[in-house]
Amino acid sequence: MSHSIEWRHDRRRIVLPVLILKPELESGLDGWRGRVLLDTGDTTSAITPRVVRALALRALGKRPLGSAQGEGQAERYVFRVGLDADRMGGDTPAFPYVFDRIQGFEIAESFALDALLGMDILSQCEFSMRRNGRCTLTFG
Amino acid sequence: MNSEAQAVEVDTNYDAFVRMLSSLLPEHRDRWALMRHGEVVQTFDRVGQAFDEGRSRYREDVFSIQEVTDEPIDLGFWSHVAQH
Repeated sequence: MSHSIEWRHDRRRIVLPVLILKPELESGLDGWRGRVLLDTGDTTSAITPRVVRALALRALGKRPLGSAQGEGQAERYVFRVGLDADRMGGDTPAFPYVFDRIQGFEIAESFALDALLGMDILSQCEFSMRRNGRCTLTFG
Repeated sequence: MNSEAQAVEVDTNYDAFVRMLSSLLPEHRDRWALMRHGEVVQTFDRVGQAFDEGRSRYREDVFSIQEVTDEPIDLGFWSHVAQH
């Protein structure tokens, strides 16, 4: 069964509520509630250090990271991403939809939002955006 | 879980992983390698499988997971802005 959520973007960027969860399945649905930027140019999702600290995540690997400053290495964390459809209203399920675990990386504390949603998650979704600002994300 | 031991394990495994990457790519590209003490224990289709196996095998939770790829993470278009 697929789920769709609808919201309105602010004409500058596409942001929606998110639930970041620990990777252990037995940890349930208690996690970090925040805001995530949808970023189709980003191959891999990412979280800020405050989310890493709040969930007590540990680095589980590394991967080269390309940026304007050259190539460095990013530490990688395993976590789950939930889209809390219930908080967005509309015809939505009572519980958030939780994607399979991913290995994302950490972005700078100065990032204004809590996370980036990259193509590792977006490639599992259908996304549409209308001129009136209405966005739809379908997944599951 | 000892966080210092985990950090050392990640570094040790990453150094070994970089050296063996070219030999892993032909058969394991885009899979997830569970690593321990500088060796690949097993590869998996999904990172969650590797994570569960690591927790199951190692009670002290000291292991790492490397994605078998030679492509760096791309932070997106904005990361290529020229700075003057």
